[in-house]
Amino acid sequence: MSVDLASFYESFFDEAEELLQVMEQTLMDLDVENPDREDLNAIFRAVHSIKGGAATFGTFETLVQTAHKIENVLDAIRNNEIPLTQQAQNLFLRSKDILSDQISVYRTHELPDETVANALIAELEQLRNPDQDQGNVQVADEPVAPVPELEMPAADSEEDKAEDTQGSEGVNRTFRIVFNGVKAADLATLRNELTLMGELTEVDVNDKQAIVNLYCDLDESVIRAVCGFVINDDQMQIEVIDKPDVPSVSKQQAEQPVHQSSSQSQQQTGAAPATAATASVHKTSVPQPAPATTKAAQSKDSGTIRVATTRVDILVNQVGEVVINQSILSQAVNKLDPIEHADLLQGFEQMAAALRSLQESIMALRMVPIDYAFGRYPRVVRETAAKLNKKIQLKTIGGGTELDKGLIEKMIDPLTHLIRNSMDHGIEKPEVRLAKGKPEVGTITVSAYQEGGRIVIAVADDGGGINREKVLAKAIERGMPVSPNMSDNEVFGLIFQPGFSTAEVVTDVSGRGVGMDVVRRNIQEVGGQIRIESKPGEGTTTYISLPLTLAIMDGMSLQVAEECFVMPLAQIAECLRPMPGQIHALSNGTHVLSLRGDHIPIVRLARFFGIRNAIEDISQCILVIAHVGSDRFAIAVDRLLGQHQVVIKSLETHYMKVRGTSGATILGDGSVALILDAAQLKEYF
Amino acid sequence: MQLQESQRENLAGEWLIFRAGSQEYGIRILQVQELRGYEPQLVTRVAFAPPAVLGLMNLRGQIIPVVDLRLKIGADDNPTINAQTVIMILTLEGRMIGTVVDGVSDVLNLTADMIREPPKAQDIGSESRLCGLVEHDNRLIQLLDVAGLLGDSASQETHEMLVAQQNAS
Repeated sequence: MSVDLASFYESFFDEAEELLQVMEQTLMDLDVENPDREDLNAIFRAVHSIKGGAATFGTFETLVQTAHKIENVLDAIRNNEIPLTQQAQNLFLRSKDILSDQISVYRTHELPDETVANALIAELEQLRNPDQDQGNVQVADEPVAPVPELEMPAADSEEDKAEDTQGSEGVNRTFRIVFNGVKAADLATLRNELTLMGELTEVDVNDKQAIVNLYCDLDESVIRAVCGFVINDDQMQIEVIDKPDVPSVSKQQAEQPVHQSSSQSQQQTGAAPATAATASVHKTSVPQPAPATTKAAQSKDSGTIRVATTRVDILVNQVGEVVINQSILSQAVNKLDPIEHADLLQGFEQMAAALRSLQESIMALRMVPIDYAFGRYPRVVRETAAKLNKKIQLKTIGGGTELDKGLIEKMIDPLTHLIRNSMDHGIEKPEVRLAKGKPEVGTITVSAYQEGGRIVIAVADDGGGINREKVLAKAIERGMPVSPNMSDNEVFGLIFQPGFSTAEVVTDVSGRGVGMDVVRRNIQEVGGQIRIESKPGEGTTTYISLPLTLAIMDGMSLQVAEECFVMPLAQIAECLRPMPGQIHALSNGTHVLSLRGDHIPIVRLARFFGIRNAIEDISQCILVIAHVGSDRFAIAVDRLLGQHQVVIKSLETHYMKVRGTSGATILGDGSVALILDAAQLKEYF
Repeated sequence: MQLQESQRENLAGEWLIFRAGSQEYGIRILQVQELRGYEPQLVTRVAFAPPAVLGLMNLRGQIIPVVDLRLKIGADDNPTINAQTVIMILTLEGRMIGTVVDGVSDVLNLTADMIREPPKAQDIGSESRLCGLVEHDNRLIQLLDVAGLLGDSASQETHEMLVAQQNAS
């Protein structure tokens, strides 16, 4: 079996970039005065894993050298040989950037600039041995052993229960290891490490606890030390459960040396389900990887797999199709006599339920924790704060909240903008803060949480708040229709108007190019809403409310004559049947609706789309009040059909954009309905 | 009149023969993805579309436009729908499009020597749409170049029409 290493490159690069992200995040979290040992370990591990991965391929020499040097210095800091300083922290951040650059260069099949790497190595060496001069750079060239997997700090093994483990090295035994409160990502790492040590079988894995059996010839202290690399010592319990009640067939296989031929390991895989069926204690055994597979392959085949998003999208589409077919079928099935066809109907019901859960699971594939976005803000804050000469700390809450990956990616820029805004215009200079009796260090809190069927992301600062009067004055100056009686909500909404730079309004600091109107547009494009709350002197909070996923949205289906349309629920304020006298005809042939003292224009959907046989008399229509930003208008339709979730599909894939719509969807009966877009309908006026 | 040898070689191959109005036409079989019976209730009318566009349909989760090919090529100004009416799903440059015709008859394997050049002047519109003529069993079959008909021109044409309509209103 030959392995094409190149096929693993991509996944190595992806993995390395994720590790670098972790490294940066952890570095940012690091308290220089009093660094958490766990954090230092995490950074060390990230660099170590990159080095290890890179060394496996043998083609990323510069990356290995650089990572090795960083690792050395980190190790020295970890062991308190040299102190962690602000300077060191900055150097490590830069190291991360250089590693990241190197990876980008390798991706393009080029070789990175060695002078940059050598300069960094020299700097790192300087940091490690400040007393010595450049002569010692030689150390950086010491040969790098390809991934000694079991290297671990000796200190970690001190707490071992020696009596359990004395002299047992070299004897095959089964350990029962219980992990408590270990995160899924860490569990995956543990699984990797343990698989390398012996035969790993999972007994029970749930959210809170993971119980595994490890059959190996190693000492308990070794297991403890390896795991201690990933988790805290108090998160695991290890006991020896020798002679477990494992069926003999499995036991026999387990006694095979670790170096099994691939055919044997396949046998083992095949035998495992049968074993699991007979003995509940012994669940699916993890097959030893075939000897020819590389480490990169090993680390991939547990815990997570990388799948192209296009494949997930195809899956989402296909399951959507099946759901539609199912609903078409269900219409037919429901016509059958329920007594005569009881079996069929019951089976159909079960299939429908299974299908629903299948759909949910598939939708969940696209979801990633929002930390994916939050992770990049500490650095933004750190750097911007330094530029602004302000003292600002960033807090993130609810980073585990899951959201569609496409959606998160679209939120990164708007959130960056909001955070920068808060730092620039919201949070005051340290001296001003002290004078106001606030803590010198300003706080920006970015939080994410689920609220009903939506995800809310809030960016809060404890700065000066928005000056309502200034906003109003600015609006009047720009000739906007405002009145002093407007609610705070309406006043702050003015900030989102194009050209209404917050910089001009709130502070004298120059604006940053993208205005809040762009932020709002980006958010509205994905079906989101944005709202500002602010208290003078106490701070400003911006709330972004987003749908759970991009692909599905809540819609209201409307009917005009024989035609059906779907309107996003997010764009609908209310629906009503007009009372006599509420509708006024204007001389130009259009109508307005008087609603609670306001006059709002009416669009007749039948006229807009040229639909015949629609209800002619507006007072017999249903009016759907749509809002686009702060503007409202009414859409006259014949009937409301109901509210449901729809899968959004682009018309442009095979056809072209249709005016007034943002796409189309497939209804329960398999037919196509256009999705209305209030913003485009409004252009009609 | 004879087509150039190389042109005729290019046209050789399997053609799907369909009826539109009183005439028979051929379309390259590789451009046809599948055939479906035409169910008007599954085609959603769409606004701001060129006259020949009947609407949109759901093809296993994909939303594709449906064009009345009989109108489009001028084969029948007043097309009717009956049990034989079919939608030919064509794939042109990665885009899918449903085309409604009066029925499909057979698949012919045409060799270069069977294909003749179409007359310069003809009823069904611009020359680029008709790329050859074949006589078979005393039937005259017109070979259509639908890539020119729907692929390049249609998307462009419909787009232009849309823009024109939007400007007009």
